[in-house]
Amino acid sequence: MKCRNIENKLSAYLEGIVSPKEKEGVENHLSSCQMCRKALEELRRTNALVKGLEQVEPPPWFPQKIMTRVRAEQESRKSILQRLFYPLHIKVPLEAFATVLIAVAAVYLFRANEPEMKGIHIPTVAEQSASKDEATKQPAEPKGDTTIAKNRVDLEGVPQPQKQKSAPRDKNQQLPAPSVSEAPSPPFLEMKKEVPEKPSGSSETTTQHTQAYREPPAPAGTDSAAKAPAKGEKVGPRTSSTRVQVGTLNEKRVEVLDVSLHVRDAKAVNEDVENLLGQLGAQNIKRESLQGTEILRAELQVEKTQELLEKLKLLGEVKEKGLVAELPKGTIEIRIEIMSLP
Amino acid sequence: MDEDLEFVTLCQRGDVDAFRPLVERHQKKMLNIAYRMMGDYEAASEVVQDAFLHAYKAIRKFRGEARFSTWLCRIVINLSKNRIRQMKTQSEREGVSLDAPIETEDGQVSQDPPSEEPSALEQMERKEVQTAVQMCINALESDFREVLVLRDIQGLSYDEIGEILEIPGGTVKSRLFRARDALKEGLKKVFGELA
Repeated sequence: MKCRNIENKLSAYLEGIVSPKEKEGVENHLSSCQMCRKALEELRRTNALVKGLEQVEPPPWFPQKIMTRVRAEQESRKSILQRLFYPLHIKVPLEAFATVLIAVAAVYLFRANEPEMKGIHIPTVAEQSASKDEATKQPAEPKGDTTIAKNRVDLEGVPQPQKQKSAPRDKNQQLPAPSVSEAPSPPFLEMKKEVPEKPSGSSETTTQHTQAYREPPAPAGTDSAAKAPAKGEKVGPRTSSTRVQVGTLNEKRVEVLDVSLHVRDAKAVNEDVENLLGQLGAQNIKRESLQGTEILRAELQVEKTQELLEKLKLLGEVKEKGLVAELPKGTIEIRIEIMSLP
Repeated sequence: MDEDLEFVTLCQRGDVDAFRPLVERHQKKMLNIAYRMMGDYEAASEVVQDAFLHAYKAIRKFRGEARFSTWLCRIVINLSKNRIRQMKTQSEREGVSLDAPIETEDGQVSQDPPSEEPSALEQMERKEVQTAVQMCINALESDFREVLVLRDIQGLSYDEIGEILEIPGGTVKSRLFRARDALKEGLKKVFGELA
């Protein structure tokens, strides 16, 4: 083994990390080579010198200084994080909360005011003029409010769902205004008069219970005298009460004949009445059933009403809900309640 | 089992005070590694402070795959090598050679030519010897220094050194043997005959 190879193995040999074979080869060479023995000794002294180096001690303030720097670093990191994310942590939730709050409040307010919004009545030109007339006449003629200003129907003894039911628009328009004065006057009828829409298409509809007929004729007459010419309505010349009603109710009102029929079996009689209406030429016959009461609605010529009443009396006990002096000519709405006797 | 892991975990959870035991436990070893790497106490103190600070900053990244001391030692070695590079650049700029005569308290010890007197080493005081040896270490390349410091001064195992330096164990050994030979030649220049 050459000296160069031996020198490369001297460190490992000194540490004892050579194989037995290498160790034997090194030792054989060292026994015969003084230079390599010297190199080994120099290496041993070098190691000794290095390992003899004393350890230095850290200064007493060393841990404290390190911890101070670490804490300063921690604080600066916090401040950086706060600078970066403080708005996100605090402001964004606040803003989000505020937005949600505003949205909820807006929805709540909208819902709270929705019926009012729907209920807002935008008066038409005709109504405005009528209101002005009423305003001028109200002190002297309180009945004016009940004839035109009222929008709701108040029917006595009529089931609630039908109270607000108004006649179809086409039917209303079919009613000729002049026929009002020429219609015969069945004496035992209660009438509900409805104000149909104007020809211009306005949806304003006014109905009034014919209870108004029971009012004293004198004030009503003045009311009609004030309003009928304004609408160009032809007022019937017969009785004062009839004139009052027709004139007051506007030329487009629909007369409703309201009759109740008390029979043993309402359902069975219902068909008979329906057939009867068909025989009399009634149109738009509609059936309703409400809590044991059969209700028939139809449009019938005024001339046929007397015949209808007479035939109804053959079927059962007929009760009228009011007295009507006369009915206008043309088509009126018939409403028949068929109730079973207990 | 790494006895530092408990404190490391606390630090990872944001407990700053848990870092102090780690500092107190490892400060001396780290300071000596840095000092023997650089041969400058002040620089070593600064490097070790920086190393602890780096360790704290990156402690959340510590996964426990290596011992905390190994991980910390790697930081110290890397920072020390960076500082050595800076010092070398600075000395080159100032025209100071690393091969310049070593200054001792008693004057200058010439590195080259080597002393002819065999008893020169014995005549030197212990402190002077240590300074001379440190100067010879300083003259080594950083790659040699680190293995020499970690193995012959700190007494770490080859596996641990390989883990710290992230090099294979065989590379550690070959590098160490060459470092010893280089140091031996350096010491011979300073002290003359070693044997």
